[in-house]
Amino acid sequence: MSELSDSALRHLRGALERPETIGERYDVAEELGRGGMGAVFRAYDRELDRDVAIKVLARAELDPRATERLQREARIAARLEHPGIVPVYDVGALDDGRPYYVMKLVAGARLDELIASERASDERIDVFLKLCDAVAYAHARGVVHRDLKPENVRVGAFGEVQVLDFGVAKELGAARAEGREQAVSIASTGSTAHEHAPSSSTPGPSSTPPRSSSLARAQTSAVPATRAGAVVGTPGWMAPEQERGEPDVDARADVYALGRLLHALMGPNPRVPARRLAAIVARATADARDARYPTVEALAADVRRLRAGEAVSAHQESFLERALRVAERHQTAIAIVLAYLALRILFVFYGRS
Amino acid sequence: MSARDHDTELGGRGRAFPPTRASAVRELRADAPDRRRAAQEALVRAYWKPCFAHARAKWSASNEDAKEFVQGFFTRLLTPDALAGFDPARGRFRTFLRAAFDHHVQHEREAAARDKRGGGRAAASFDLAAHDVADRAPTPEEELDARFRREWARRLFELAIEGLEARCAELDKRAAFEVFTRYDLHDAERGPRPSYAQIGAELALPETQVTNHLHWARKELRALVYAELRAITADEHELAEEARWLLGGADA
Repeated sequence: MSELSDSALRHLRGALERPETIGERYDVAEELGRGGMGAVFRAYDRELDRDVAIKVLARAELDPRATERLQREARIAARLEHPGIVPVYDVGALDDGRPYYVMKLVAGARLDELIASERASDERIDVFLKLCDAVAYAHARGVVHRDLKPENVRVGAFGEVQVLDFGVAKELGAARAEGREQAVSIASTGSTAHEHAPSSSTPGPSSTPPRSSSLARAQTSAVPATRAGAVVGTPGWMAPEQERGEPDVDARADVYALGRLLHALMGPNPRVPARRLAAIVARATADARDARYPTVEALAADVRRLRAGEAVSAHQESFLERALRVAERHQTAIAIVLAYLALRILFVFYGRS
Repeated sequence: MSARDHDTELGGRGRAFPPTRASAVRELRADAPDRRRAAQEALVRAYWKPCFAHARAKWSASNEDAKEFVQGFFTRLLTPDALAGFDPARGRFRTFLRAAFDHHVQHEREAAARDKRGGGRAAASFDLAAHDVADRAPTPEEELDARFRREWARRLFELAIEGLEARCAELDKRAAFEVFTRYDLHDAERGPRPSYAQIGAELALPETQVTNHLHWARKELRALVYAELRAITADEHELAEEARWLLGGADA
């Protein structure tokens, strides 16, 4: 044969890795993201006439443990029905045995793009509080995300926030019930299902149907997803106890990551009271988890107080600070009173003369 | 002149081979000379072109010199202790082989210079190559390494495609190979990739048949790529690592 061109080589490498889908229902198009465990592709759902995202285990990762990880990730995400968490639609296996799951194709910017943007501080706080709502909901359902970072948060054009990638999430309830750590290893894909530019006109390959299955079927696997002592998370965002590989990581690890996100979102902002914001961030990101906010709700409540100009629990104010804060909060009323007093004084002074 | 001149077939034309193959890297250490020779042939098929292109690119060797370097290098691979310095735990065979080849070329160049001055020749040590692999810090040579890897991937796919062609002939599925050639081997520099419908019209096949053929061909090709890869890797771990790169979407 003649020598394989560079373009043909690139195409072949992608074509052999790309899921030979799912011709019956999903038509896989371009790759959206890739990580250590698998990749996320844009796909078209023929039955429901909509674009979706499909996360597929990498061919080289195909083993029972990795399969269980991906299925478990799908189960966790499917259990979390919240507007702030990307919904899972379907799960199954390709004809080569690789598991996949189908989720909503999320439009919008990544949080790091929003951080770098010119968005106003009020909008940023809104985004942060919506993020807190989603994470608090996951905690209420016994799930700790453990990998909250800008890449795993999408912000839509109307301020809607969605949390992605529960690949390294921890099920608190399961750990208690089974008496064992349910953490999955660091081999998460880290990939995301964000909206990309439309694919080229080249159609995706059509082929034999997958062995589609229900979520219930995916739950049949009993392969432990545990690796005791594994470091799970992303350096720079994960809590110190995660970095140390401690097995009993709890919801306060997400509080830590949210504190880091709050700091990144607000940055040095002259419109936000620096001392109180710094105190909130410091409490959320305390090295000792007992010193952090006990819950995401408590962190969110302090951020709401900050926005409302109220005292925050993370900071003990001096009398002067309190006076200044109250003055700032009621500056209109104080200005009116001062203006009235000034007029009265002028009236008295000129009235006598 | 391009580093990938089409002027030699020393690597051998594609031959039919069984779908599963033993690791030539291990077989190269076999006691039986015929097994070592078979292993050497497998490695020559996969690495001749990448080494040739590397000799041209890195060492600025002429076409003939590059051939001689490669020929001499692979001849030495037949000696029983040729891979004494290779330890799978320390790195990939591909990396070892490239370093060993560099060492061979360097040694040959130095020996040639000594010959001009009237000195003698001694064989280069592959052990030193292994040491180089372990200790070498990242250098500007990374570009050369990427090029070597790309040529290696290209050769691997070429061998697999030759195997696919043979298999299609054997199973009387020439239409599948034709569809595969027109769609997957399309060179983007020659225009947009034809659609399934266009290929179907050209070959008088319904579109569904085109996609079925393509699916079958890719499935076969994938198995053949793995078979080729298995033959030139030391163990299952290296096979998985190389497969992860080769089919994992990393930049070629």
